[in-house]
Amino acid sequence: MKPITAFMLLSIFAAVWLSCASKESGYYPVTRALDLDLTDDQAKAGAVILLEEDHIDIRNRDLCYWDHRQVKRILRPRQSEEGIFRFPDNKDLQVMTIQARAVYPDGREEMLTELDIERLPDFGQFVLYSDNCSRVFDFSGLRPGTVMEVKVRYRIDNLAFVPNTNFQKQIPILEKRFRLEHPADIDISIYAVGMEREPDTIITISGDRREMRWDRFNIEAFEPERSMPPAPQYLPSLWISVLETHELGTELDLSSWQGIADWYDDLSRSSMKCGRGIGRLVAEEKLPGRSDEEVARAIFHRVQRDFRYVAIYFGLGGLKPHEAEKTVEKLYGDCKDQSVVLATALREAGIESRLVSVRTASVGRFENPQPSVGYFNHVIVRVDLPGGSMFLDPTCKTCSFGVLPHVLQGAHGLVIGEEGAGLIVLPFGGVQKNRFTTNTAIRINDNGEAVLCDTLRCSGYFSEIYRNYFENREGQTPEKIAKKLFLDDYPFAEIVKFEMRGADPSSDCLVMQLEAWIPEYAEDRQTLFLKPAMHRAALPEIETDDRKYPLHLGVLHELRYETVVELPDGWILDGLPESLVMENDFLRFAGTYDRTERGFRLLRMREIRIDVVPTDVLLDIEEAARSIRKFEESKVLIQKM
Amino acid sequence: MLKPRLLAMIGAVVIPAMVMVLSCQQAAYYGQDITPELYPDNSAIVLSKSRIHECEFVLEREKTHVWGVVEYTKIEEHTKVKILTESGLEKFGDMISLVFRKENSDYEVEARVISPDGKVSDVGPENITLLEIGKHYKQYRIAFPGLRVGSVIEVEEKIKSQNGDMAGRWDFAHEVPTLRSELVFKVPSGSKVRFNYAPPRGDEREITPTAEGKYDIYRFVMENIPPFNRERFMSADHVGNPTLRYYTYHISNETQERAVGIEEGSLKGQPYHMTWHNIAKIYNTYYDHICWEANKKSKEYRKGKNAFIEEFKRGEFTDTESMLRSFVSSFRENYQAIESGYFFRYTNPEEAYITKEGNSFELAYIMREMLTNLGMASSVVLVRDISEGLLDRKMPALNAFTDVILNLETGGNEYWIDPGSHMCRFDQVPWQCRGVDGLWLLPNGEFVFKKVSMRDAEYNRFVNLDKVEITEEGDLNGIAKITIAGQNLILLRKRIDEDEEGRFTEELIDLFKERYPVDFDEKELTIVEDGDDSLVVTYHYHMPDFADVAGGFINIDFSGWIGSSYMDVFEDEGRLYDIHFPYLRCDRACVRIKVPAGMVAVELPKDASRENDCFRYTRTVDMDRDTVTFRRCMIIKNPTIAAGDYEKVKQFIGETYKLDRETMVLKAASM
Repeated sequence: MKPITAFMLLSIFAAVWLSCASKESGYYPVTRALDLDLTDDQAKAGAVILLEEDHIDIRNRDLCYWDHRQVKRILRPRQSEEGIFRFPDNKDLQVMTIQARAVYPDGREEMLTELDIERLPDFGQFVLYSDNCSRVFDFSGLRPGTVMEVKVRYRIDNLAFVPNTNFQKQIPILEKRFRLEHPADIDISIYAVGMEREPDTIITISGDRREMRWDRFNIEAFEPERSMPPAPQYLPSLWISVLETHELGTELDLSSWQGIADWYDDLSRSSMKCGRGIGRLVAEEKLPGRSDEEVARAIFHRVQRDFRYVAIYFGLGGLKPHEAEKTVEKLYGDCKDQSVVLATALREAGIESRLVSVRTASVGRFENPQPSVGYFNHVIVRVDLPGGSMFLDPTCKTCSFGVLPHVLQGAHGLVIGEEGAGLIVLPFGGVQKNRFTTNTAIRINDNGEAVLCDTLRCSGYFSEIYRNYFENREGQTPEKIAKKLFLDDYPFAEIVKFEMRGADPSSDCLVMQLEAWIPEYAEDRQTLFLKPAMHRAALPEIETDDRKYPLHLGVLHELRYETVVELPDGWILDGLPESLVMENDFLRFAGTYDRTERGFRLLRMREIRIDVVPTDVLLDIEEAARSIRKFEESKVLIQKM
Repeated sequence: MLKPRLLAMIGAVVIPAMVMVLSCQQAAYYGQDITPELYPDNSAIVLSKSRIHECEFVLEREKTHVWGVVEYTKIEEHTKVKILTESGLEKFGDMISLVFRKENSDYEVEARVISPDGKVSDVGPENITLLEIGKHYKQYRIAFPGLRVGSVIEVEEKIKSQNGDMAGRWDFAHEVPTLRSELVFKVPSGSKVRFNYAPPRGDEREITPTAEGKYDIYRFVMENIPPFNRERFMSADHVGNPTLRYYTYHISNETQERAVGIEEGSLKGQPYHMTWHNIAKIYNTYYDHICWEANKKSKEYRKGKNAFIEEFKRGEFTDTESMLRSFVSSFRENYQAIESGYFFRYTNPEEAYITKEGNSFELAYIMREMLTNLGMASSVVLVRDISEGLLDRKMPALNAFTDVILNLETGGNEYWIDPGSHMCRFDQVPWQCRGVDGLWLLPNGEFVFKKVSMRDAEYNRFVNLDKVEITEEGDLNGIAKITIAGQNLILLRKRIDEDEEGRFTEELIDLFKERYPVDFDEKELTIVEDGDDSLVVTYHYHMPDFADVAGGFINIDFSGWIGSSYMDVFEDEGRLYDIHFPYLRCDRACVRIKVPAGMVAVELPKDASRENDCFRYTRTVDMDRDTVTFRRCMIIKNPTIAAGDYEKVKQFIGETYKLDRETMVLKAASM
């Protein structure tokens, strides 16, 4: 062999070897992935994340890279969900490169790059039109021993969108490493949820750059518990905020909530111009002789009734409302569009109003969170009337004036366009208490059949919820819905009459009148035990064993039930259950039985006073709940002559 | 390219949201006189819907001297809906088109809104959005502007594609009433078309088309169609929704000659004379192992397959069944099923072998090949999941089947195997495949239709035997022995991932908590037997305040021990569609209750026994000294209850429900 040929051959071998070596060396070694020892708990999972690395590298005020890497091992069969990956790919979070590899137990290898991976539009629950996209791919044929590795590099041009990082997932994580690198002269703020905010390590790199590191090991899988507050409040995470002024439609200062409020004020101002459409709407509702409150009420109900929810999120559409005039023309828009119409119309009518950015309660309320744009996911309106301020959500199609939907009660809000802006907690109920009251009269005849007359009064969020049941009843009569809602325990009951007053949200409360015949109400016996409690007041069973998270009792509310039972002649009341009265910081319950001339009366009242019960008092609350359940099940002893 | 699974994910989001697709062009149907008062329980009215479906074949010059067949499908759909309530605005105010391919489809959409005062406004392009879905697909979305209660929305869609879609399905009813619905199917003249109405109209005669130029035109119109809303425990949609399925099963020789220049009844290798015979042939060809193994990629398969099979050949098995049992178990461990309703389109057993996962067709294919190598001949049986509607023998179609199972006879026994179902164990197939017609593919390339037999109620049993003791305070302590068998067990295994250690027990506890409102110490739950067909567990439980105690009396309610009373099936006033239970089943309880000594019964439920065509019920309650014995058995004898029998059966169930709620009252003998 000639030296030149040998050299060429060697060069080719070297190049191939180097290429293979570099290809392999860039990935987590499969043998190591398979050899790693797992704890008993980790081994029970369907899959484990062996390594998750996130490196946020802020290069300067206009450029940041985010490198994400995840190595996952499949432990059990049928874990196809673990093979599906979705990464956002948008203008603000732009995918530069993706490398993904799966190595199957038989040694077969599957490699993907961004060229193989489709960029698909996101189909959000409410977003009808959006240019948000994601890179979505899946590895199929997963079986125990499959090792997958994904590496994604993002480019972020606007530092307002530096992402948060979670340190816990639905499957165990053996090793989680997070690095944040930035120029020392850029001020960074870090907010920590459920973990230490301070980094494990701070390194100064070449004088003008800093790197902070957080490393966590053997993180157990997150297992949500029943009736817990929103999970994001308990998932360990770091929120990174660059305390600079950003350009996001207009100037955004993330150093304070005031900065965010001012930014949104600027961003929405141009949309809140009154034109012919708004002018006509106001003219039709601001009738002579109407007080400010009456005008505000009329305008609110007009927007609530006429505009339907359609979200259009092109460009800044997810943040910036569309022009009020355009929305009036189309009669559709999302929360911010509808709120802009409402606030603009109220202002045009001479009534002070403000937009309010809101974080719905279902995604969690955090303690002193740091300012960020992504904290909010909804917009409503605050109207300032001579009698006081109230909050209005025009997208709630069944809410009475001044009543917030239950998903907003107790949520965080930020009033836009005011000095001294800071997070507020939206009220429970609003102008009304959340109260459900029933007065039930049951008259039993000799055969054990009963005639029931029930009056049910709803205020606060109860009106919203019950109107909703009857609003969305395609093809079903109101009587059928009422039977399902109120007489489900009596399958043979027949509704004789059902009427609703205040079904329209322009009424302050909803009153339902129900008359029914219940053939199987009491057993045809000489000695019988009768359970008179209708309309449940019991709390669901609370799992207290090994509970990690607090208990969410729901939005603060009050139930008041009165049941009067009239017995036929010859039926003797032999014993009434004992009363139960209890009270603690979280709830109050009173249940009493009294004899009446023709039978007996049962009164029950239950009030939820604090919505979240910490774990250290859960046993007390479960004890109380158990007592209430027992009282609810109590029966009256009756003897027939 | 998007994988079918990803497409299915997109479809899962998109298709349920699709608001409208069909309609007709009748100027008289503007619906001015339609008011909410006429339809107080509906949010909108479909004034009209129509579809003109046209298919054609032409011969076109593809290159300078090459001619090729081009198939065209043109579908025009026209919809008008009047909004009656605010809820109707939300339901019908936005429209999402189907996802369609960019390359070979043209899609046009026009939409307008007719306001309550009669003013017609076109929906401008700013309200119609085209969404690109990956590289190959797109979709339109419309938000109707200026929509109010009383408005009419109108949409015209035109789709032209180079896919020869010669079949379709037309649903005449919608969730709101429909005033008029029309389907026009235009096919090349001389083509033979099959139609099937569901529910059957008793109109079996040949439907004659109208000739129009080179087309035959079939037209179907229905008016004043009530809304279709599913009822619980009904079979597939088409049982209730008036539906017309249609397809061309034979293209005339004239058409083929005109378009293609051939006389044989086949285009591009696919028969256009669609018969069960042809379908069986197509599926049999998929299974042709010579064809398959001749494939260049097959080396890896053969090597792996042989290794897998050799393991079983070498294994020491006492009999054929134990080998088969071990093989099936090992196969399921190695091969995973993926759900795909399109196995007739996307089938590649090669890939399934390599990826160790496949749809039911692919897995059946691989398993059959392996069984053959083990010396056990098996038949592939194609079935239609009964929850998708019964197989229509009059409508031969490749997509008529949803599942593939195997049937084999060995050692004098018959076995059914579902290769793709991890919750089924040996010799089990899910209820969806039982009691239905199956297309058996015979080794000689022929086929036969035979019913897959239904297992009896006793096989699908849920039995609880309890021994409990009640204290003077009414607290209860007990031990239960529960047997869950047959389909009940398959459903349980579907719900619980047996592979997740500890989870199975937890789920069982949750299941029993649903069934009995009890507290029990989970450490006391023991799995006594975990067989293929039955699972037996025991557990200790404690129920504080179980019995009502007052005035020296104790009241015992037995309802916590019974299974379903089926009362929820009969909660409606009436029934439009037949009730269909998934499978025959038996719920049996025997509870021995030790009460405090010295108690006597003052109210004792009488023994009861009743039976009709569908159910058999028995209940006895005895007291012997200090022990009460409660026995109850409820059997579903027949899975179908005709809608016409609803009232009669409801009364029966009502009576048994009352019997189930009868309590027993005891008092101290000294009182």
